Amino acid sequence: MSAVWLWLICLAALPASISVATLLGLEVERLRRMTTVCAATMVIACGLIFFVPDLHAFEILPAPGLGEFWGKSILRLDPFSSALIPLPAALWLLTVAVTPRTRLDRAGLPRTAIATLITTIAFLTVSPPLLLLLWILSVLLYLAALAAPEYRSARRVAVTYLGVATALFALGLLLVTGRVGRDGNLEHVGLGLIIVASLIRKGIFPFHAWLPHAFDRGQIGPAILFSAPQMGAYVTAVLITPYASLEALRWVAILALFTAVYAAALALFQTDARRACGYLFVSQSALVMTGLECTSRQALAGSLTLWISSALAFAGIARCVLVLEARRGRLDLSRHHGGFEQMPLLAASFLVLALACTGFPGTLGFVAAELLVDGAVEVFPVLGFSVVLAGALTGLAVLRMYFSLFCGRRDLGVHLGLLRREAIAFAAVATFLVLNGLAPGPMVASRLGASELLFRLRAERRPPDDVSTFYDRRGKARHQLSAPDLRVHTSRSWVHPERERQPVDGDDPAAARGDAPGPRVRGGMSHARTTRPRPRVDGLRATSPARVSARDRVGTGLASQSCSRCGCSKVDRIEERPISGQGEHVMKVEQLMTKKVVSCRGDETLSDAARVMWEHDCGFVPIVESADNARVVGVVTDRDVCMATYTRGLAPSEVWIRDVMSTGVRQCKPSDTLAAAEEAMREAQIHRLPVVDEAGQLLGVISLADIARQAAREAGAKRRAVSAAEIGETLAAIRKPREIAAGSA
Amino acid sequence: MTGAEKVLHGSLLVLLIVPPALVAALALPSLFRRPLREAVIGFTTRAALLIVFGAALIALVAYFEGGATPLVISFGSWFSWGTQGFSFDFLVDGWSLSFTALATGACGVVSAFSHRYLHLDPGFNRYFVQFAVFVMGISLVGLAGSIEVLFAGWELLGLSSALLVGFFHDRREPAVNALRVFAVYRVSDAAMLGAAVLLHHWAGSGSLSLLFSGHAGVGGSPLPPEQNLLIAVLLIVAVAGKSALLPFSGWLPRAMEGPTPSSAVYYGALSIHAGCFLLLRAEPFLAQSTVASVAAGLLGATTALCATASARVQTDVKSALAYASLTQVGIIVVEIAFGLTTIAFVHMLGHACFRLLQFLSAPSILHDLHELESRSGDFVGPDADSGATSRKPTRAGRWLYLFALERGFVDNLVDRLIVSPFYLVIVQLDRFDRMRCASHDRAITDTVLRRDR
Repeated sequence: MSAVWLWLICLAALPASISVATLLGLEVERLRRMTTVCAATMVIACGLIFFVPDLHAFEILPAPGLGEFWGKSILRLDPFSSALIPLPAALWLLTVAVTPRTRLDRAGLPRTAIATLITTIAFLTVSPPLLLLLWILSVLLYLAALAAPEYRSARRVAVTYLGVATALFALGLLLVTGRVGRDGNLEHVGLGLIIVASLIRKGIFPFHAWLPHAFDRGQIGPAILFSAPQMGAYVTAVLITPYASLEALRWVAILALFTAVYAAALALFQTDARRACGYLFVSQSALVMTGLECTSRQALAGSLTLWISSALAFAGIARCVLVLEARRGRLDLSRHHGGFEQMPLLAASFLVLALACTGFPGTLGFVAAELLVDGAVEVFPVLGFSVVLAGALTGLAVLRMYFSLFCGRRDLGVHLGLLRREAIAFAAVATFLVLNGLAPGPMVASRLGASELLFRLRAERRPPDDVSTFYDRRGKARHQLSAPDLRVHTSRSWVHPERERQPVDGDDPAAARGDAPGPRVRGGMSHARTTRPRPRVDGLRATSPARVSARDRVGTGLASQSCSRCGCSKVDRIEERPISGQGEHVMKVEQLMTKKVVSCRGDETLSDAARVMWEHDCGFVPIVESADNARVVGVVTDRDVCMATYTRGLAPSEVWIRDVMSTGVRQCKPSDTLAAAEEAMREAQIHRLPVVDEAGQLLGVISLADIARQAAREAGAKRRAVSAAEIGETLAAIRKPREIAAGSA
Repeated sequence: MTGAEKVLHGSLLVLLIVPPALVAALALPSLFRRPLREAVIGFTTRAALLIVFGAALIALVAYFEGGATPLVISFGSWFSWGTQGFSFDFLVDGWSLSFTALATGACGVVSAFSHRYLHLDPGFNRYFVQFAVFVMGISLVGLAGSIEVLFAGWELLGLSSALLVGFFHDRREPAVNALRVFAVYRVSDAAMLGAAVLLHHWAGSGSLSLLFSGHAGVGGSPLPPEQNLLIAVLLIVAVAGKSALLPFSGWLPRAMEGPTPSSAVYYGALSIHAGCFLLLRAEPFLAQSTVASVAAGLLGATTALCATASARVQTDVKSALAYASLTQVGIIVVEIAFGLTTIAFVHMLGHACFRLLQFLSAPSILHDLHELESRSGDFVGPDADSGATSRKPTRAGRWLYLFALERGFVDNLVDRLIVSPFYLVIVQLDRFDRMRCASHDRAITDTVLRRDR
C-alpha cells in the first residue's frame, strides 16, 4: 500500500509545487520552465501505473468514521481509469510547452496546475460527493480564467450553462444518493438530472452553443484544459452508463449522434478558426458520448479509445491555432493565409493531428472510429451511419482549415518557425497518436477490458430484464438471460437500494439458463420430476463477483470494491477458491448424474428429438449409434432444433438428426470428480455432459444444474463437495460470450 | 509451403514494407530540419521503386509458375475485438499482381520524370513524400485482401491526391480545388466505409476474397438480394467518387492544378483506375443484382458520352487528356457492368500505360510547338479553318457545344442542388447558435448601460 501512497503524494505534489513557486515571485519564463519539467515528470509518474505492479489497481477506502456519505471508496484505480490518468498530465504538458509568451501570465500557470490536479483526482474517484466537489472546483477555476473584462460575454454564457449544469448535477446526486430520493422513489429523476448535467457540460445538441462561444470569446487555453479531458464523459461513464435505463441511454445516444453530425457540418462552414475549433470539439465530444451510451461493447471500447485520441488530437489542433494566432493575430478561415514554406513543421503537425482527429488510417483515431462505427451500426442499423457521416464532415472541415491556414498565398512574412519546445510537444503528441494507430493492440485490449468492466458493472446494477438485452445484442439466444452470475451485487448499491429487498428466486441459474424447455419452474432436465422446493442460492450472491474479479484482472477494480460495501472483508476477497477434491469431501459424477436418459439415433428426425424433449422435459438428447449399441455419437439440444429448422426453413420432421447433431462431444466418466466435470464444462462452454463408460456406452447425463442443486443442498454444511462460488465461476466461464472468449485468447 | 509460395510471401513483404520505409526516409529528415538533397531524394525514390517493381514482377512470375491459384496471405491481425478484427490480409491473384506491377512500374517512371520536372522547386521534398504516400496507398489497394486494408489504401490515395492538387502553395486556386477534390473523395470514402461496415455486419467478415467471389452470405452463400444491392450501390458510389464518374466528374479538371507528373500518375494512369479495379473485383456483387449492374452500366455510358464531348472542347492539353481518360474509364465501367471482366482488365492496363505516356509527353509537345511557332512565325497545329467549324452551327450543335464547354453542367448542378441548400441550412443554424449566446451579450450591454446611467 505504501507504493500507492507514495505515488499519490508525488502526483499531488507536482502541481502543488507550482502553485507554491508562484507565490515565491519567480520570473514568468523561469516559472514556465519549471512547470514544463513538473508536467513532464507528472506524465512519467502517471505512466508508472502500467509498469509498477502495485499500482495496476488499487482502492482507498474511506475512514470507518466517515460512514456511507463518501460512497464505497475515496480513490481507486481500475482498468477503466488507468488509461485516462496520464491524459490530464499530458494535456498540461502540451499547454505549458506551447502557450505563447504573450498569453502567459503569473496567474495562468498555477491555474493550469490546479486544473490538472483536479481532473486527475476526478479520474481516480467514483465517490459521488467527491466528484461533485471536483466538478464545482473545475468550473470555478475555469470561470476564474474568464475574469478579465474582455471575456465578459464568454463568462456570462459559461456561468449560465455551467451553473445550470452544476445545479442539476448536485440535485441529481442528492436525489440518487440521499434519503429524499430513496423515500420518494425519485432516483430516476435524479439520474435524468445527472444526464442533463453531463450533456450540458459536454455540449450535446440542445446545450452545445456555449462551447463554440467559449472558444470564440473566451480564453482558448483554459477552455481546452477545461473541456478536453471530458469530465462530463467520465461522469457519464461512472454514474450513468451503469445505472440508467436502456431507453434513456438510447435517447442520449441518438442526441449525441445527431450532435456529432451537426457540429461537424457547422465546423465545416465557420469563418473563424476558434469557432471552428469549438464545433470540432463538440463533434468529437458527441462521438465519445455516442459510444458511452450506445450499449454495445465495441462502441464502448471505441469511444473510450476515441476519448484519449480525440482529447490529444483536438488539444493539439487547438494549440496549433493558438500558436498561429500568436504569430498572425485572429485567423479568418474565409481567406487563405499561406505560409507553408515558412513553417512546414507547424503545418505538418497540424495536418497529422487533424488527420488523427478525423480517424485517418494509421492514427489511433482510425481504430477508435472503426470500433465505434461497428458498434453503433449494430445498435442503430441506420442512425449508426451518422458516425461515418460525422467522420467525413470532420475530415473535410479540418482539411479546409489546413488549406486556409497554411496554403493559397505566397507568404512573405518573417520567420514563423516553431520554437524547440513547441516542436517537441507537437511531435510527441503526433508520435503517440501515430504509433498507437500503427500498433493499436495494447490500447484496444486495454479499452476492451475497460468496456467489459463497465458492462459488468451495469450487469450488476441493472435489473435482469435489461441485462439480458444489454449483455448480448447479437441475437444469440443462448446467451440471453445470461447474467445471474454477474448481476449479483445489487445489495446496497447506492442507486437501487430497494433491490436489496427483492427475493432471489429469479436468480436460480438452473432456471434462468433455460435448461428446461417446458414450464420453467420445474428446474433442470435431469431432476425434472423433483418435488423438492427450489432452493435459494444465496451463497452465490455473496461470493461469485469476487471470484469473477480475481480470476479476471479486469474485474479487480469496481467489482471488488462493491464487495467491500456488502460486508465481506478484504480477506474474503483475496481468498483462494477451495478446489473440489483437495482436502475436501470428494464427490463423484455418478452420485449426481441422471441415470434414466432417453436417447435418439442419428437416423431419426428432429421431430423425434423434440418429442423426447417434450415428453421427458429436457433440452438435451444424446444421440447413440443404434438401438442396441449405446455408443454416444453426438448430442442435440433444443437450440439445435430451433436453429436447424430456422436456417433450413424446414419442418422438424424433414430434418435428419445426423445432419444437425453436434459431434465430437465432451464426455465424462462416472468415476470422474465433480471438479473434473466442471473443468470440462468450462473448457467446452457447455453445461451438460453425457456420462459414458470405458466402452463409450451411454450411462447418464450430468448437468451444471445438478451440481448447483448439490451446492444449494450443502449450503451451510461444513463439509462441502462443491462451493457456490465455484459454480458461479463455471457458469461465468460457460456463459462467457464468445467474442470475449476469443478476445482474451 | 512450396517454393513459389515462399517467393510470393517474400516479395509481398517487400511490396508492403518498402513504400512506408520510403515515406519515413523522406519525411523524417525534414521534420528534423535536415532536408535531404535533391539528388539523394531522387535516387532513394528511384531505388525504392525499382526494388518494389522488381518484387512485383518476381511475384507475378512466381504466381504463374506456382500454378496460378489465388491465395490469401495473412500477416496477422492488426487489432481485434472478440471474434472480429482487422487483419492484414492480402489477396494474391493474377489481377492484383498485374495491377501492382503496373502501378509500381508507372510510379517508377514518373518518379524519374518528376526528378527533372521539379528540379529546384521549393516543394521538391514535399512532392516526393506525398508521392511515396501514394505508392503506399496504391500497393495497398492493389493487394488488399480485407476491406480494411483496402479502405486504408483508399484513404491514403485520397489524401495524397488532394495534397498534390494543392501542391503549388503560393496560389489560391490549387488550395480551393484541392479542397473540392477532397470533398468528393470524402463522399467516396464514406460510401466505402459504409460498405465495409455493412459487410462486417452482415457477412461477419471483412474478407475481400469472400466479397470478390460473391459468397459473402452465411456459410458461403450469396447475401440476400436487398443487402447485396445496398452494398453494391455503396461500392458504386465509392467507385464513382474515385473514378470521377458522373455526378462527381467535376473534380477531374480541377485536379489538373497539380504538377503534371502527379496528374499523369493519378488521373492518367492509376488513381482514376483504382475505382475501376475495385468495381472489377466486386463484379460478382453486380452480377447478382440486375439493378446494380444496369445502374453501373448507365453510369459508365453517360460518363463516357459527357466526357468525350467535353474532351473535344477543352482549351488546355491536360484537361483534354483528363476527359479523354475519363471517356475510357466510362467504357471500362460499361464493360464491367456487362460482366466482360477480362476485356475490362486488359483495357484498363493498356489505357493506363498509354495515357501515362500522353500525359508525360504533353509538356514536351507544348514546348516543341511553341518552339516551332517561334521559329516559323506562324501558327502550327490543326488547321482552324477545316472541319466542322466551317459549317454554320445548328441550334442543337450550339447547345452541345455549350454543354461540352460547361463540362456537362455537372459542377453547376451539384453546387445548386447539394452544396447551396446545405450551406444555407448551415448558415441559418449557425446564426441560431450565435443568437443564443449573443442574447447574453445584449443583456450584458443593457446592464452596463443601466449601471452607467
